[in-house]
Amino acid sequence: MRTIWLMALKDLKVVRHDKVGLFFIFGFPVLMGVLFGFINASFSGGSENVQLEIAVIDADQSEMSQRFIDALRDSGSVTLRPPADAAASVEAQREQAINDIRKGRLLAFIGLPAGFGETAGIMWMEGPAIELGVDPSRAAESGMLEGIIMQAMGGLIADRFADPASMRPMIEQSRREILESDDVNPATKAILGGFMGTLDTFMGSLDELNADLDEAGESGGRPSMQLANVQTVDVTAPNEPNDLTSRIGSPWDVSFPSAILWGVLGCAATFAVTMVRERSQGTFYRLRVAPITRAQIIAGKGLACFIAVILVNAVMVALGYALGMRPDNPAFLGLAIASLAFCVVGIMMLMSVIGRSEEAVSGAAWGANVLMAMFGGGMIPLAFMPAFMKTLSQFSPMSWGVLALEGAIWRGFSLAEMLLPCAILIAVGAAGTAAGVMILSRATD
Amino acid sequence: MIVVEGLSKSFGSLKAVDAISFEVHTGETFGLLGPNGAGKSTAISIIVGASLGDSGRVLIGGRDIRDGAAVRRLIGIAPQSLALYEVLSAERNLRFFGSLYGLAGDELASRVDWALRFAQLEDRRRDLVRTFSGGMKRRLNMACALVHGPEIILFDEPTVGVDPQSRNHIFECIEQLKADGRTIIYTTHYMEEAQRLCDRIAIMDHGRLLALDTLDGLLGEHGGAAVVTADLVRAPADVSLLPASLDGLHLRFESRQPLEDVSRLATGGVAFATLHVARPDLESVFLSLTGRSLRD
Repeated sequence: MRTIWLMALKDLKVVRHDKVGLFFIFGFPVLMGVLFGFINASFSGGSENVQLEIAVIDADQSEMSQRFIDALRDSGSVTLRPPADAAASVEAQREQAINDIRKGRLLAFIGLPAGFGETAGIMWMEGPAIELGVDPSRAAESGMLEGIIMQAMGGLIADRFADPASMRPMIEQSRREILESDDVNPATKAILGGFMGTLDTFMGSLDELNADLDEAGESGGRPSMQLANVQTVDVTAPNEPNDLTSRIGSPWDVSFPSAILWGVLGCAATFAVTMVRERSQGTFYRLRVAPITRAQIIAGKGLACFIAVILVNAVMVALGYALGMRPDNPAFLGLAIASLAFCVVGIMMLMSVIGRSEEAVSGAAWGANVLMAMFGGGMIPLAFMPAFMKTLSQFSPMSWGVLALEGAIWRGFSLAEMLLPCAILIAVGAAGTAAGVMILSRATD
Repeated sequence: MIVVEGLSKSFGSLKAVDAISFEVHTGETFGLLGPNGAGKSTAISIIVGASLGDSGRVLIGGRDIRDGAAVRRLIGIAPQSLALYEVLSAERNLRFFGSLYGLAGDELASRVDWALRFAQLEDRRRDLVRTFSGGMKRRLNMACALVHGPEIILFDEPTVGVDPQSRNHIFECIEQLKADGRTIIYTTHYMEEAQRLCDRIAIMDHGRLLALDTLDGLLGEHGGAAVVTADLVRAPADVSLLPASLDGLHLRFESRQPLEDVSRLATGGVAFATLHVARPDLESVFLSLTGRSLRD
């Protein structure tokens, strides 16, 4: 064991001087973790939400247009960019916004026309024509923005109902226009006139109720309008149906397993290169002449790689903790990390024999890494993959690694559920090690 | 000390080592001389157990090289290609290789100090190897072979790519080891090195051992006669004394005892204005054995 430890320690010292290798082992995964963390945060609506930056050109300048703008702001999904020159005309502001979108500096602009406040939020009147100009390269955000506009408009409808006093003159005006219109047939006039009368009576009652509540000094108990009531259901804990608290404590819970994947693949490539470097620079020859067995040499390499993977995981988990990640089950996380490390040792052994030169092994290893990461969830989260990629991802050991890490961090896996991904990782590690050792033996005898 | 019996190794259709046999005695410096590609390094690899021969066997102190750690501990090798960790310091390289041979603690520290002195790298002990010159690396490569104090040392072309100063240092080191009674196998394609350092020399070509003897034995057997050329002060009265006819006052003849012949002529009254004796060397031995030059 002393010899294996000596070998491992030497390899770790050698890798410590490999600045590029170190970056891919420690620096790159941290970057990926933080980047994916921000992306996840923007998708999950977390506190560090990345918002859509838009401009609103308000030609109406009414109370309702201001309410609409406030509703956009309160949605938490958009950032309203103030005009560069507040004193500029509406036309100039609009032109500026279009220019900024064209140059990619702005996602979209919303134009509220003059007269917006007169009809906005009144269901039976034709809605105001709201302008929406969106960067054509960002179609997904365009749909999202339309939804936010509809949400804000819905808020105005609710606001109208909450203020019956302001609604009643409009109801009366509408009723009069209907009755005086030559385009509406008598039967329809009778129905709509009756509806407007009933609505006016309803608003009158609402107004009286509000007045009574105001007099009594009660703030609650007023009728309100809600367009839709959406509740999010926690699906992460099927065994604990009563626990609806989300297990995903932070966006880092989701991003760090993918980021760790890059770190461990970096370890595999770096140690594979050190292995082939031993052969190309002759030190492997000297090792084979020394009074140690080939198994000890290989075990030393494997141990160094194993330790490096554990270190990468420790660093990433520590960083995740600092950012707010809270693994669901630390013991399972340890199991997942150990299994992943063993898997990476096998991958490293296999990578180290796929070429005879450092360049060949390095190129092939990173090519394989990119494929494993692509299908393992390192580039596109597994949840966002198209169906064929999800199927192929079953063949990437890294997808099982991510699943094992996620199972311990936030998926709430039981021990039985953890065993499948961990067993697959260990099997891949064993197969890779066996194949690598066999090929190496043939190449060096 | 070392017995090599019927060793063979092929790479596909290429017979790198072809049934070679020899013995190396304790305290002897044994040279393996041959051009590049003669099979020397392959033979060395099999002798030290780094690769397997197709047939034959190697005994070190009566035990098969494949017997394990105890046999390997007796051996130190300085491979032809530098076998060093470039991103580690000289001291760390020596400590690592010493540790692999079971050295630890004070013994390891003391052996590392000795090896650094041997390689004249004491003042660079903490510098990374990648900052060293070619000669320094070559010396460290040798030191790594010696750090555990082996009884048998194999130097595989230790002077390749080395400046004259470092080459002299390497020669002095090997002579020191020789004086200490170590058993040395030295491979080279430089005949001058074999002539200077080796007690016995084996000549290899195309994987085969062509000849094995002491330097004098090889020269006597395969080197041919020496060539004596001289300019005489005047033609001798009795020209029958001369082993060849004169060309004016210029004399040229071949002889297996050139010094004796020159001495006899001088005693007979022949006065030499110039005298040059070209003795046979390993180059001529190789030429005689293979029909081509060692440097071809």
